[in-house]
Formats: sequence, C-alpha cells, structure tokens
Amino acid sequence: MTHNGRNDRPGMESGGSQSESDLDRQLEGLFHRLSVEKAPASLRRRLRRIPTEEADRTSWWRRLLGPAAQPRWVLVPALAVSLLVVGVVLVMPRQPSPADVLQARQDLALAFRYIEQAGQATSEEIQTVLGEGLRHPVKDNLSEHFPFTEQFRKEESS
Amino acid sequence: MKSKVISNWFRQGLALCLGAMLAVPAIAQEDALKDLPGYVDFGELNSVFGEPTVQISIGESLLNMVGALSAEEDPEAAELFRKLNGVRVNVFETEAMAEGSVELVKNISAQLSDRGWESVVTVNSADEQVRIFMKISGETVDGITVMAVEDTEAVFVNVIGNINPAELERVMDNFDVEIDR
Amino acid sequence: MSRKFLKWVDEYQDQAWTLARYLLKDPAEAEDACQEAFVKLWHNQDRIDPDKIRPWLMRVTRNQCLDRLRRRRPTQEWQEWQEPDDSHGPMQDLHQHELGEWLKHSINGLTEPYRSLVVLRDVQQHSYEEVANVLQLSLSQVKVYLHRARKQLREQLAEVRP
Repeated sequence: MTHNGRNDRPGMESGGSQSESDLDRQLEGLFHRLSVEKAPASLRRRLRRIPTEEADRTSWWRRLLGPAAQPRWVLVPALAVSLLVVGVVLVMPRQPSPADVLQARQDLALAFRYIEQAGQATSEEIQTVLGEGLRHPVKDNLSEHFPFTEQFRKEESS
Repeated sequence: MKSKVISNWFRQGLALCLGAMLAVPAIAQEDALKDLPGYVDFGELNSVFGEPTVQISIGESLLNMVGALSAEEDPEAAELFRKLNGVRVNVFETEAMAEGSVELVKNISAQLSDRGWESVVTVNSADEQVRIFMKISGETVDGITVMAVEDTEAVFVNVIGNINPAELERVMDNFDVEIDR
Repeated sequence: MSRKFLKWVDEYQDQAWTLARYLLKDPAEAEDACQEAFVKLWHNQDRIDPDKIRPWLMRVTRNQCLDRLRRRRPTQEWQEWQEPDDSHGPMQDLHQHELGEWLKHSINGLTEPYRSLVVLRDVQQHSYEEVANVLQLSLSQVKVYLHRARKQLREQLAEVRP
C-alpha cells in the first residue's frame, strides 16, 4: 500500500477524482492479497523429473555421433588418436578445475541442507510424539551426542 | 573436405573417450573411500528407488580445494574440509514410500550397528523414516551417516573423515552458498 | 545443467502455475501446459540469455495455454474464452477477504491480453519490460492495455464494494 499519497506502481494512475484514487488504492491492496499460487506437489514432482526423463529420451552416444552415417574408414584413425590421448591423460593425474571446485561447494551446501533437514525432522517428531513440554529435555540430551539438533533449539529460542 | 571430416570424427571420437575417461577418476575416488572406517555401502539403492535425482561424491582433493577457497572468510571451514575424506549424497524422488525402502533402511541400520556405528537418531513413522549414525573411534568421529526416507524423497548422506561434530555444525550454519538447483 | 534447470524450476514453477491456472482454469490442463513449457526450457536452456529466463518461460507457458484453448474446441470455446465472463455478477456487501476472491473471478473475466497483463504485472509483479517481452507487445502498448484492464476492474469494484 502507499505511504505518502503516491502509488507505488508506475502506470497506476490516480485518476481525476478522489473516489478513483480510493478505488485504485483498494484495487492495489487487493492485488497484494492475491499471492502467487503455490504449484501443486504433483506438478513439482513432474518438473523435477524432466532432466532425467528428457536425458533418457536421447542416449548420449547418439548425440555424440550425430544422425548421419559416416564412412567407417574415418573412424579408425580418429579412434586410434583418441585412444592415444586417453592413454596419455590417464597417466597424468587429473587436477580439479576451478569449475569443479565451485561445483563441489554447491554440492557440499546441498549435502549440509539434507543433513539439517534430517535434524529438523527429528525435532518435529520429538514434538509430535512427546509434546512440547518434553521436547527441550530430550533435545538437550540429544545435542550432547548430536549437535545438529542444537541448531533448532537456538532457532526456537531466538 | 577429407581433412574436415577427419577433424570432425577426431573430435567426436575424443569426446566419446573423454566421456568414459572422466568417469574413471570418480570411480577411483569412490574406491579410495571404501577402505575408510567412516564409509557406508548403501547397497543397491537404485533397485529400490530407481535412478537418483542427485548424486554427489566429493573426494579429498576437492574438499581440500573447497577449504582453500573458504580459508580467508572461514578458516574453521578450511580446517574442517582439510580433515574430511569424502562427502557422498544420493537423493531419490519417490511417488510414495517406495516398496522395500523401510526394509532397506532397517538392513543398512543393522549392518551399521554390527560394524560399531552408534545410532544417534531414529525416527519411525508411517510416512517418514530417519536414521542418523556416527562412527566413533575414541574421541574422533570417523563418519556420519544420514538416511531419511519419506513419501516424496529418499536421502542418503555419508560424511567420511576426521569429524568434529560441533565444528561441522558451525560450518554448516555459516556455509552461505547459493544452491544452484 | 540439471542443477541449473532445477534451480529455475524452484524459482519459477509457482509463477508459471499461477499464470496457467488463470488462463486455463482447469488444474490438470494447467499442469500439462506448465510441464510442456519447462520441457521446452530444458531443451533450449543453452540458447536463452540467463537474465531472460523468466520472461521466456512465462511467454512459452502462456503460448502453451493459448494453444490448448484453441485446441479445446477450435471456434466455439475459444470465442467464449475471449468474451468476458459475467456469470458471477455483482455481489453485494462484500467483506475485504471476499473481495480478494471476487478479484480473482474478475481477472478471469477479462479478455486477452488484459488477463495476462494483470496476472503478470499486478499479481506476479513482473516489470513492464518483462511483460512486454512475454506478450510480445511494445512498452507503450503494455501501459495502455494495463490502464484499460485496471479501469475495467475499478469500475466493477465500484459496483460491488461495501
């Protein structure tokens, strides 16, 4: 909503009369209430499967080799050279590239997120089974052995 | 024309072989972890859950480099990563609690217990199974394993190395990386 | 590649869904339209400027919806969809929370491109430039049409508000 008499949305003219301004403001307020609708779980699952499903549709070797038939005599020297290169590369240890390292950071962040989620599931289950009253004593004891739950105790008390 | 065709095939053949070659370090990396006390063989997850949507295996050298990258802003993270040998994650999307998943979690849990892993967390409910295990040797933790199976997702995480859980928790809290997914 | 794609899925699935729902109404069709749009995104992701993913996706989603509407019954239902939906009629003594529901119905009653304009700009808060990109309109056309759409809604609101 506006705070100083001006509309936040450019183009949403205030109109000539006061009632039009009121209507504009009311309309704007109603738009704010219309939040983006959350996609249903079924759609979310379908979308997350797309990489796997679409990758399966085109096998990798077809993509590499291409659709057209090539004369076989071309393959022999090409593969021979490739094998030679592979032999050389295998002897040399492969060092991670900067891109590999950045990807590894992403992967680690993902791994941490899953560990934290497991901890949260534990915390919620304790609450469900034992009730709020017993949650802290049980979690306090747990956190001696498994500090991840400590994080959620901190979140609750903050 | 002939040299162009050969050049194309050289590139394609090279791409084929490189694709296979790139898999070798990943396999070698995984093999190197198998002998470590903190390693967990999750068994035939694919046969129960199908293809994973996320599969991560980060070995020692990459962990060291990530640590080096973080050293300036987070020396604690650098130290933690330096001591880790590997981080492995398998995530599967499921339509419902996959048949055999409860049994699989129980089997793996039994194997871990037999191997001296301590069960830290157990959640058994109709729509969620969570297990967290730690492999403790004296005062060090050699491995942490998290298994979380619910009706939309099954997650298996194995952290291997010389782990200080309190340090890990702090690093996890502060590890502010935008996840690219 | 798939991590980048899944990030886009997380960021934009709700918006694509909301747009498809407003345009198609039927949730099953809206799901199908969204999936097809994201499949196209998967296949074209290397060709799209990363800064323009959202408008690209909204455009494709909208096009999928329009295609489906045309396929339903080529002439009749398409024409019906083009015409405003007056079936709900004015409602008296609406409280604030009911006005929200009323607004949804009213937006659904707008013809194209007004409906898409209001959903993209006012509900989903895309910039004018993005809206122009999605709908393949000029910036001035977007502003003029949006003004007309809001005028319609304003007039309807004047009839029903307490």
